Amino acid sequence: MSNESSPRDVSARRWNPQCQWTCGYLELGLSCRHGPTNQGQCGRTLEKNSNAEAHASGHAKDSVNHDQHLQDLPACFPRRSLLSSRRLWTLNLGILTGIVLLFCMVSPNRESIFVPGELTAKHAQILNNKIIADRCSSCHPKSHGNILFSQAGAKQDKLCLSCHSSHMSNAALRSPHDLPADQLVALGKFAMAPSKSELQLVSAPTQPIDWQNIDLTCAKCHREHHGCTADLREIGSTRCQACHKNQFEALAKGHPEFDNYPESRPRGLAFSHNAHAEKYFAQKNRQFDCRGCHLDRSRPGSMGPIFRTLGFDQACADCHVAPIRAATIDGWTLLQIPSVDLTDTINAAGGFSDWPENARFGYEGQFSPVLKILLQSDTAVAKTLAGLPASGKLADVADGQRGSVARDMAQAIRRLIDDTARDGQAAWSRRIATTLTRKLGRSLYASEHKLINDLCAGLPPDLFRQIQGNWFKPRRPLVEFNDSHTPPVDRWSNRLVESKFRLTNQSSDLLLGNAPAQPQQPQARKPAKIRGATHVSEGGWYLNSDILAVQYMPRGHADPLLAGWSQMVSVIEGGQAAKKIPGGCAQCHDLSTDRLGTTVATNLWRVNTKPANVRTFTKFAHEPHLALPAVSDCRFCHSLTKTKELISDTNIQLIKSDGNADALPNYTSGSFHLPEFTSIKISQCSSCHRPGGANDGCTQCHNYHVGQVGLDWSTTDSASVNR
Amino acid sequence: MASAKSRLGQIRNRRNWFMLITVLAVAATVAAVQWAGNRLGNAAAITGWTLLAATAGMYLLSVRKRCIRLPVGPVSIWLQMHTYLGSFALIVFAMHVGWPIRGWFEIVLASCFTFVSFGGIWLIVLSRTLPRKLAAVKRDYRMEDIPALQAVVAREAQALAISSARLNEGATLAEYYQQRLLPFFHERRSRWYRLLPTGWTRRQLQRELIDLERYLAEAGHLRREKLSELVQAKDDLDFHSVVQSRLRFFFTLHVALTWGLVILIAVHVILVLRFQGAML
Repeated sequence: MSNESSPRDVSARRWNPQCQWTCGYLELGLSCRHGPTNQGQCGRTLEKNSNAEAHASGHAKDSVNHDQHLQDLPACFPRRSLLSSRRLWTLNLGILTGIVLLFCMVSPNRESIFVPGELTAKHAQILNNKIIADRCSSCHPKSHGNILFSQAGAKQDKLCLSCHSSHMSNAALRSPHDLPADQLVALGKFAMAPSKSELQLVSAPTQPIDWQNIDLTCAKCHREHHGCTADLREIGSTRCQACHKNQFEALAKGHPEFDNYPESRPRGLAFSHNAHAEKYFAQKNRQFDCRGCHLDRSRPGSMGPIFRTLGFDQACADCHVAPIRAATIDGWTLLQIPSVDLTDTINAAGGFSDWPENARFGYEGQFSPVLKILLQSDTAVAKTLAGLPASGKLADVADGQRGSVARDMAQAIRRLIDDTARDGQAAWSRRIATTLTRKLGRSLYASEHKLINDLCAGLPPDLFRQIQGNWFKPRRPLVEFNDSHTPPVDRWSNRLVESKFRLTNQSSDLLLGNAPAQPQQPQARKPAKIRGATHVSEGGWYLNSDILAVQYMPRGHADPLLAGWSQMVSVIEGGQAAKKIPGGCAQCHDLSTDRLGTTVATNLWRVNTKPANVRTFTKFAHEPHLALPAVSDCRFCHSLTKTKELISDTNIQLIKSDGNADALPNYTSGSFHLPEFTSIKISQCSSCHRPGGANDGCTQCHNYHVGQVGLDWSTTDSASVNR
Repeated sequence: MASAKSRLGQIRNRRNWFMLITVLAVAATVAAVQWAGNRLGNAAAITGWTLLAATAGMYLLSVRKRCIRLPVGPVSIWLQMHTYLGSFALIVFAMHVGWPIRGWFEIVLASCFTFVSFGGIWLIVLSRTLPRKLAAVKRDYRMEDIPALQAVVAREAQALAISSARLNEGATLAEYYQQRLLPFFHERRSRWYRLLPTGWTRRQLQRELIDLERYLAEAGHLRREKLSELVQAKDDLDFHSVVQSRLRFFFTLHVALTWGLVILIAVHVILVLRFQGAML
């Protein structure tokens, strides 16, 4: 600790840089050679004491003479050296930091102190609520409790999904796009197929991935604590390109060209944009405006939501109500009693004694597709049905066979009437189910049973009892109307009841050999000529005695019976047969059997609109685009293919391969399968979506969380079986 | 002379090596972050652990200073390593934090790290510029000696002023000393001087002393010149004191905040591991 030296002598001994204290007289230049002790005491004082002791013992040191000039000065107060001061500062600052941190840790507001940034607006309530004590634990499983060791809890993702699983049911898989491994493998193979386009190669993974063991946590992409204005769904494109093969810089730089986008897939509605734009609207001298059918102007807001198709009432009714009404004004004949030539010898033993008088003038009649379906379960007539011409007219049957066909059909119809009169709607239900089961070759699904029930609902069996009583001559007593049976009181069949009771009594008397006097017949009243449109103007079943037919008056567009039978006929008899059903359901609605396959779809009549909660791989919002004047015209993106291009050789081949060659080139129901719109170009999008312009990230147009629901919607026909 | 050149060459060679290693380390970290980002990895974890390792490496200088007997190379090499490691850590820090920095604790931690880092950079700047400034002064003074030297100079000046009064040439110098030089020699320099040390006061006093010459006889002239030299010496000492104090102040601040930073980093690491679920 010695510091004795001439103050200006740079060659003199230096202070030990490690010393803790300096002499209090240093600033006066009067520091002694001893310097302070390590404990901060004046060294000269100690030396005086030790010298006094030494003097007492006779061992006084010579060194006392070195500080003679300081003899008169009292002991100094040593001061901390620079090193010591620095260490003290460091220590104090460290202690202060620790104390402040401890104070913050036990503070009630510790979450707001240690949170590494505000939560997003939708999650902000987690930290700011007053219900939960350990609020961080809502998302971080081990955030509270012991500092170093806490109870093993759920993983963070499970906590995320505890709230989010309701709208992302497959997210718990924690796999790419929330898809199971087998589907990912299948998608990978699909994307990597050699014949695939560049666009599809984009979706191929960069390297082989072990799909079974991949574990994607939410935090891989969604980063919280980036402020309340942050959007957790804003995912950088690098996140996507971490897996996907064909990396490109931006939408405008390297994104492969669209391959037939928007995809032209079979639609449930046979609507030809070209036909309407070039022909029908032109004929009516009306402007073909896309918004008329796709934009619901009745919704609030400057621009309503864009629909794939608005309903019939809003989009089609203006032009199509009148034709539908005209087509059904005479009702729909489901069943007609054929005329049979009773003079023909083949009918002698045919049991036609009670055949209606008005149906005995020769072979004439037409069998509707519905009637064919109802009779197909009758094995006795199956062979005859198979030989019937497509028109269903007796007149079109070969002359040599006409008599036998008429006989067989008449007998089968009589059995159908009897069955229906006896068993009611169950008779129809049973016959349709038998036919459909035979056609499909399997037991029926619940949806198909429901369709059959819908077809039979509303069918009045009493009409058939009326037929038995009024059109056919009494042949035998009906078991259900014997003496012991209380005659039903029904406003539909009062006349029938009376008649049948009369017949029963007659039979009884005849068996007793006691022919009663003929009861007085009620005054015959000539029935008024019935026309469906006026007789059952609001729709329903009725008998047409003029032509001996059971008819149905539809209730205009979307009549459930017409629709159901159109669908059933389409499945069993084929699409062409369905077109014979009045109302023209099959003219606009695609009921082709190849589309339906061997199943009966339940959502056939609805426009195939994607539900809001279904996320497909690709997304697009029309509303913000149509608000821009530059692209407000739908045809900026959706330009119609010209008719000549539409019926090009390529498309003809395409249609022929689909079995719809007869749909060419006129505007018939088949033409809507054609790609009516030219594919959108990347340049159309990238003119706005470019760096510095509108967002051009992957997630701007693509969804990540697709899941099974989104994949099914993306890759399969919407008319798939709903079991 | 030859050995000095050889030593300078060694230093330059060492500096080049350190620079190369630093650049390579930065490039490797950037590549690792890119690699992790391209594979949905946690880039923040990579930069975080790298930053922790670099920060720990910088504390080795403090350890080295305490281990004076271990043959682990001169402190200058460790200081150079500390400097380049600090530069590397600052770059990794910029990669590690999310911009803008949010949260009170994170802001304090980042501020502390930034303050320590830029304090270190400022120290480098000072250590390069201050010696040149100090070299403008004729003599070198050790910081520890300056108070004593200032006291000696003050005593000499006072003694000179008192002796001048006994020369029967009037009390011009003594009065001037009492009015103007006494505060200069015995009081601390003003706050402005400590912030921006200039020779303005010295020059002013020396001019005034020159102006006194006409009032002095021959003996008085000698004392005036002597006083003028003492004014120069005192100003030199003050300049040394201020400049060296500045260096020591920033060094003290750098070191003191460093240990506060250690505590903050420890808490940060514990929080991150715990909230990530990585800690049991």
